[in-house]
Amino acid sequence: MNRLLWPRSLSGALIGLQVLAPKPQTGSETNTQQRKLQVRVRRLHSVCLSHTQMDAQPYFPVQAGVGMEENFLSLDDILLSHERLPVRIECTFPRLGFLERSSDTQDIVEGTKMELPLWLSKGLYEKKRRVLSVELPKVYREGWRTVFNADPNVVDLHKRGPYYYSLGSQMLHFESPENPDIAQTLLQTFIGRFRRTMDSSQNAYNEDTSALVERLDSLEKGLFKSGQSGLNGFQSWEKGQAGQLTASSLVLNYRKRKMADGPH
Amino acid sequence: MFCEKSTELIRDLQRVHDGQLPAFSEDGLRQVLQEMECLYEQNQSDVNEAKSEGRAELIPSIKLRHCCLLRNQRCVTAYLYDRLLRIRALRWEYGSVLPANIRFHMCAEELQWFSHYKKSLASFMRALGGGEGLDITQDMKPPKSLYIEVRCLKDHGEFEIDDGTVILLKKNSQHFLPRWKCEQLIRQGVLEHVVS
Amino acid sequence: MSDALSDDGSHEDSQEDVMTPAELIVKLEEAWLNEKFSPELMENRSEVVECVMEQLTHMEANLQRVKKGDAKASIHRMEIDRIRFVLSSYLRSRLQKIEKFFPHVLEREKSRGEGEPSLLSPEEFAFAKEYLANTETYLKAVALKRMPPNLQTVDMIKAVPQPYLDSFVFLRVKERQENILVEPETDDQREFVWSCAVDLNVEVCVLVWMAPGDHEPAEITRP
Repeated sequence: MNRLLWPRSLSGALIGLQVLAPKPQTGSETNTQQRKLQVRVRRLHSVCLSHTQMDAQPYFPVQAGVGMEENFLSLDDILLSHERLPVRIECTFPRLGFLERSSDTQDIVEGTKMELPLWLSKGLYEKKRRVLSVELPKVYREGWRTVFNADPNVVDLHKRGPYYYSLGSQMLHFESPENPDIAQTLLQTFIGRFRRTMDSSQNAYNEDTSALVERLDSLEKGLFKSGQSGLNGFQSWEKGQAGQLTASSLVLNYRKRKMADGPH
Repeated sequence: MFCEKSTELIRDLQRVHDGQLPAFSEDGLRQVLQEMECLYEQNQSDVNEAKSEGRAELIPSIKLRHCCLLRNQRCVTAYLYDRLLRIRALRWEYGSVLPANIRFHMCAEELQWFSHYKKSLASFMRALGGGEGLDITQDMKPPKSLYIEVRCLKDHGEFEIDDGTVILLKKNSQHFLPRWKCEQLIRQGVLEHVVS
Repeated sequence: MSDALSDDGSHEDSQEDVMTPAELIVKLEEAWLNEKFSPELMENRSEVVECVMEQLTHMEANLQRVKKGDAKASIHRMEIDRIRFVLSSYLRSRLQKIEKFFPHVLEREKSRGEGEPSLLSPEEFAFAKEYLANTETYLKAVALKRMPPNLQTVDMIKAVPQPYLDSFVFLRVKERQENILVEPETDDQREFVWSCAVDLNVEVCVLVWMAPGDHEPAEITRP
């Protein structure tokens, strides 16, 4: 009756299926190149989503949004949107000069260059009005895009990120002529790196995986974890341990903490 | 920059990975609410000035503060909601009685939420199958055998099994018991399932 | 399923199709797997749930009558345990989704048409409403009421994400289907379309792989 555990090939295929199989286009919407790419970037993020069904833990946090969207309640999205972006202020913000550390003025004047968190940049940005303009972080600019296009596997995405894909998708909110290229690079980079991530997640059993994950961005780390979870589940099933009743890991962890904290 | 405290709340919570419930940050919440009050008051004042003196140039700042207010609201809501998800998990992992050291980490309103949740769950389970009732917090894993070997991890006193027999669960004792009877005690860490 | 215990099994003398206990369990398993592997809440099958529970009661009663120590008893006991596991897992799966998508689930239920089958069983509906009320009350009491006037409400429908219907799922094809096309997106980029037919009985994965340039649609067929 153990249909709950996926054989290795399947859990790997699950990841592959999610990344690479695009949904057939429906409807007669005019697909501009950019919109198509935006839609594909969106699908990129669907990778991590269904693995939670395989999870035996009863804690199910709200997941990050897909592609260019954020989920209001997602802790990951909130932290992602805390990332700072270099911006150029295009209109004056009176009485808020104190937010800009390098000067002593009362107002933030037009023309100021400063860093603002993504959430604020998105909130203030208006397509039709010049309020602020957002500079592309270096890793999404042409120079780095060429590196990614040449060989996506060489880059340490943890260092360059750690939210390389998610932040890149968010950058598409700010109208830039480079958007189609950015979207394209994000997608191709993911596809290029994906196989190695999947492969290593399916072959590293019962070993220290820190070297394998240290250069992965957060989305890839999630994928890796998902692959490992499938692998471990399968191995456990093969050993006949799937039916073993275990103490809740929550219980065990609370107990460890209690001992560490000492008697109150 | 505004909203640093609210992001800190989120960061501290997200750091606690495995679904555990850290202590409720009453202090952190209060600071965020205070910041919101300040922002709101500044905005009220600027809005009045903009209206009465026609100072439209104040609007960008008003909008900025409003973004901050929304951000704080979002962070607080997400913080509280994620904690509820962890508390929910406690009902499924621990049962309906929580140990003191965990209750200690919950604020009064969370304890109330938990109490309502478990009542609601109990009503649901009782009503299943036209009133027959089924405890779906049991049978968490596919059953492989009727009886299992268990080792007692701590003293738990007397334990009655179906045919009236009473077993003494003393630390380190081993027993061969009906699986379904042991399930809850294993989850709670009182017994350990010994697999040969 | 053993016939010995199912003698007084289906005692329904309704005009509807009378299911054998074996068929009932197959229906339960199907509902269970569909629920487990679908990203959104499926239609409720409370008639199956009720019948299974009745069945379990019968089996328990029969088991009491069997002589202690009879070898059959343990086999039947196992059977009861296994069915109960599937049933519990099915109900848990549904409850998880109800909690996860609670504002949307309630909205779907509210806006369904007259003749449409209901998404939630009566017990689930009550539970979902209580969950919503409990959560909203909590958020208001602990924080929202202490916020500035125009920020004291959070629209749960907007805040709680909807089920992601673009998730990929595994399918098992029960009968040969003609004319199901799995088309690749026409694009300059290299792309692969994988479709997967899984035979759950033997847990084997059959991948149908279309490379770009093959414009022949593939049929999803059972091996």
